[in-house]
Amino acid sequence: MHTKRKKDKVYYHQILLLIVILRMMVGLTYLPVSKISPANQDSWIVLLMSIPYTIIFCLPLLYLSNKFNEYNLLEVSERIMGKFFGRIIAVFYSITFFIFAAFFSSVFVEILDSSLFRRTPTIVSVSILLVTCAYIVNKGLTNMARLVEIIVPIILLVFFILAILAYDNYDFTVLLPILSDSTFTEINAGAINIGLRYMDILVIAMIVPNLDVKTNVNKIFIRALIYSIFIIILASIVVQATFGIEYVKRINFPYFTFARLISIGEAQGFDALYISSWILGHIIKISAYIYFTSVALGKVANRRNQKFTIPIAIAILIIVLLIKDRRPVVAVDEPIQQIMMTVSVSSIIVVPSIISIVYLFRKKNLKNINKSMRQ
Amino acid sequence: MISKKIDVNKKEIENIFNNVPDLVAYEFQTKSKIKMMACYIEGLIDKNLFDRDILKALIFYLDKHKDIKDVILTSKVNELNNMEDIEKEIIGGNIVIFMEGCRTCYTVELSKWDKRAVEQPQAESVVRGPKEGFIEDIAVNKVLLRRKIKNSNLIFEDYRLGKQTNTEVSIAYIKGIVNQDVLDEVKNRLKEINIDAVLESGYIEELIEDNTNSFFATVSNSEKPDIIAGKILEGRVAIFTDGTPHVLVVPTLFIEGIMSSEDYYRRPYFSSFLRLLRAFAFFVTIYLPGAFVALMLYHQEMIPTVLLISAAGAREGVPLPVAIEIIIMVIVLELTKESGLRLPKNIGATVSIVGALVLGQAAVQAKLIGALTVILISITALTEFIIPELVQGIVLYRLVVIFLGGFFGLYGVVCAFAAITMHIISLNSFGVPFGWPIAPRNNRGLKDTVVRLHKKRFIFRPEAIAKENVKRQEPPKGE
Amino acid sequence: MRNKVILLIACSILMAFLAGCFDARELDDLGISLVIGVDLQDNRILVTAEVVDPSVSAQENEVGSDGSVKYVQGTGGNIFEALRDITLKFDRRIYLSHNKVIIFGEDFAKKDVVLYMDELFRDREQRETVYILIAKGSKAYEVMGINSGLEELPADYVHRLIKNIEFNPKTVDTNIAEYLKYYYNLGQHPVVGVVERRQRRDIDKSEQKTGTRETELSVLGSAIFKGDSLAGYLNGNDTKSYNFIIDNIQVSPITFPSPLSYEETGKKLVQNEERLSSISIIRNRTKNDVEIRGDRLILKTEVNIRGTLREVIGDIDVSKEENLKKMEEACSKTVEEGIKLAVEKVQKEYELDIFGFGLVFHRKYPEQWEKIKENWDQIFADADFQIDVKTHIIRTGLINKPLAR
Repeated sequence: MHTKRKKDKVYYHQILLLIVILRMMVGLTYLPVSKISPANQDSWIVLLMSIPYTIIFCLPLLYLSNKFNEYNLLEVSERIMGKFFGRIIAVFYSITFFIFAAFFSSVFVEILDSSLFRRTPTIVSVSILLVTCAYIVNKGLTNMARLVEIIVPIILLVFFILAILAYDNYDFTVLLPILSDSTFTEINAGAINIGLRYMDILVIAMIVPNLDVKTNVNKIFIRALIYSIFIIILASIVVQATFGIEYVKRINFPYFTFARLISIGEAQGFDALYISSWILGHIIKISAYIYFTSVALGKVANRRNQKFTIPIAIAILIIVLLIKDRRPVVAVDEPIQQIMMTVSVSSIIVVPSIISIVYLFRKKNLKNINKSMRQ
Repeated sequence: MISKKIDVNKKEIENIFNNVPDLVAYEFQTKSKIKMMACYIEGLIDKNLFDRDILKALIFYLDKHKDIKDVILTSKVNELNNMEDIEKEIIGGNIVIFMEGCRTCYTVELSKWDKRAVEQPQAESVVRGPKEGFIEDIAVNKVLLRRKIKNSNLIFEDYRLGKQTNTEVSIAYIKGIVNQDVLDEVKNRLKEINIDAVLESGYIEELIEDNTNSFFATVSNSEKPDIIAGKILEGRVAIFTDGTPHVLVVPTLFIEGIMSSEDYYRRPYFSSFLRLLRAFAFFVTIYLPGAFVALMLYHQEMIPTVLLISAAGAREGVPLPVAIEIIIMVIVLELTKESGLRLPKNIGATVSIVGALVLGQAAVQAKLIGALTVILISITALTEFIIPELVQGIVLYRLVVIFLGGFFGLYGVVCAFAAITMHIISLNSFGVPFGWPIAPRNNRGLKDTVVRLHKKRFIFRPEAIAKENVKRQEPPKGE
Repeated sequence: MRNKVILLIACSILMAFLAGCFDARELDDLGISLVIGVDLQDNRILVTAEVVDPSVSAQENEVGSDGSVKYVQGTGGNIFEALRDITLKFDRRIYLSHNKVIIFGEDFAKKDVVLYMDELFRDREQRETVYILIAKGSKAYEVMGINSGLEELPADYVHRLIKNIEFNPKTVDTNIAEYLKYYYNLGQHPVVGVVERRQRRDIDKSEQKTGTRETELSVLGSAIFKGDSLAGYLNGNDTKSYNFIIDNIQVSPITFPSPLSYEETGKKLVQNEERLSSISIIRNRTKNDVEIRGDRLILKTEVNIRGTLREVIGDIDVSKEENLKKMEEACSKTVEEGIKLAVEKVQKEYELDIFGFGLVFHRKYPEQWEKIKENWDQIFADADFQIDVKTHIIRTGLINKPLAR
């Protein structure tokens, strides 16, 4: 069962945990839902509402993943669109993943610098991060999946422990009145906004061929979506119940501040737990995106993926230095958030839709290819 | 080729062994006037038996009509006609007998030399459980194992390793349980060994292990027959080496580091508690000093106020930075451990007194180190001692974590945690993931990890190790 | 393999030029501050910090009080500047993470407190769990440094006083997070604790001689904030009523006139007006409600007290059901009157909704709230108030009949 295999195998629960952690790290970092419309006590409804939207947005991607579960997104696009366009799409996705990796690294470093290490230069904190991530990525997908399997439960445990320990601070009446301060449009706008941010779905499309049971794609997608939304709902509810609606909007990193408030008797300092698990989560997140960048680059260059890790890490280092030492990333919305939004919309919706449409048109011509794929 | 003439043979043997003064080439004549010669190495054979059962028999009863095998009163007589084999036999402690006019010679196994009695191993003493331990003699060791597993499926396969030492090495496994892949892998790797000397099983361990760059050993060893028996009953392969009581077992899982044979002899709840404690100790002993440095240097806000004030009070007037202080104390701890180890027992006690009294008490009073540091290092040492199998990895990683904690605070510690965890679970031991059954997770395997369930529940052997024959016993009735 | 080598090299290069541990702070470089006081002096901020001297507190058998802390002051245009001003006079950097209490002088509290507190939040050092106190009628530094308790450090003394709300709700324990939560809410104004310096009657002869401890602190009462500036004070009983309404009562004594009762033997009516009995609250539950009736707004409060008898003065046999009922009624009446008084006072004097009726209104009439939320305080001040207190005495202690014959 566990002998050496030619292809890296990952298991259902590992991918599930990976996607959940990729998703929830955003919530645990700056909880965007408390700031995007309608930004009031109905945030959790917005999150719930985002589930159907997310499913709709991800349909093309899911369709492709289910149809061609022997190949990852880039291989599929190459087979459908032909060599040239396939390569262009591979380039596009490698840039996408790279942007994600660079963006999350810079967010990570920014929070680290503003919450823990004020005087440490950016280059130092980002180097440590990238060295760790490069080491993890170098170990390959199977081992990364195992790391996820160990670390994500720790992070989840810390998350729930903190939520339980803070029970003294909660005042759930702030969540009332439900649905009266926000209009239908506002809620839907917020839900669409959140649905569009679900870039972590790309992980499934990239990892399908490595899954142990390939028919699990939909199950993973739905479960990951529901679990992660549930966790973010919990996070947003506890944070809002602790601070009240208005105060949350003024805090850059609500869950961090939330963890700082916890005290049991004289014992404080539970933010150490939060910070540790938060760093772990980001290490996993950034490693994952570096890995997918290198997979995509490997597709572009038709080479094995491992060799790209270090160039990618160095490129990220440079990008982060360029971004970070000019302006804060999280605090200042424009224009980086806009870029992120555009990238995520085009990578989740636009490109997969184009591929699927082309597939539907060229279905007959592609039949032969399809057969050869099955073999 | 063996000559028909004894003189020629003698010369040749003396040529081969020309630097070996303990070689005895004893020429004698039987009653029936047959010239004979016995060659052996002084001290390797049982002389009394040789005189009584061989010399006497040959001299009195051998004649031309009788085969030599009918005369000699021992169980194991072989014929040989090759000079190289003869050399090996003599070196191995056998007696080689030449007969005038005969192109074959005979070897008689009468080896006997002084060996240690079977006694309790000092490194692995137990409160409950068998007290016997392996000794340096491989034959005795095999017997010790066979007495644990009275089963004809217990197979020993012999190898000779080491060009110069010709050490006898034997692998043991149970046919039908053993993982064939692992077995083949072990055989292949043993065959590939090309080394001049094998003085201890550590030589073999280093040459067959998967990850030579790792701080953690992916080949485990034990001195106790019950431990080896238990492991090969789970489908593992044991490697016996002549001349050492340490027997290797592969494949090894990380989780074995927090197990002890006594866990299976005691009640399951207490065993589970101890295992949880050991698992906890593993993390504490690696990360505590580093985390302490990180907290003291970077994250003072995370220390409770009362503790912080007393820590600050303890640090007043201490000249060294806290990171250096901890590193010094960790090194002193290793010094104390190592110096106590090599000394005779009664001096060893002095070392610990010096370590405890002088370095602990006096250094604090002299304001050389903080009192908190001493407590911390003691905890580190205690937690290290309850997981002796993992010590080699722990000590080095601890230093790495202290450095990272000193440079980057919690951030460094957490990065170290991620990297070390990654390293541990990326290891393989003969094709079996080192982190099994935690990562990759295996629900059946989890029944015997940080908790040990009742033996009734051990229906399956570890799946990653015993692949073919996984079922161990029938499930308890009614389930 | 090559990758590993590159990684190792990268690591070692990093290590080499990182040796500067940028953010490392040895413990003996920090002045751990436990209390800071903020005052206004000539329109500049004056910050007083109580800094622990760990070398003294580490030594055993140190009896002398106040020896283990030092007080340092700095002035500046804002809090940050004032804090850094201290470093010019004091050898260690003030480290705020372990601050337990921030005391605002009255003058400062009347200015825009929140504006100036920005520093404390932008920086990660100050924890949001720090308690706020207003030095009633004095400067902050005047109430600092007083320790007439058993705690070793004056900061712990004040901190414990605040925490004693657990036993007596005539004070409030508001930390910065709570303050800001109320501050940002339109429907509820923050109320924070006060601290006052008092003369102390000397009883202990040894202390009389040394004359060190003639003053003590009291946290009786509370201060009302209108947004970010001090609006006025509540006295102890009003604070208790306030705590009743916001449902922040844990264990609390209630003292009330013992009800009339018949003496068992003589059937003689005994007037008990001078006699006061007490119960101790075990659990309290308050429900607030608002109702629009015609054009009037009615604020309703329902208090449910469960308590145990602590003291019965007067000849009342509580083993009789009707006597217990009378006790309960008397208790309810006292609480009711106290709360009515407090609400009336707040409505009349301050016109500030400190009780959170605005939030209740928001919950119940969200559409109307949108229209009136800016003028809520006036509406609150004009509203009628209804209160309903129910007391349940669920335990009577170890004796049933009073001690007096």
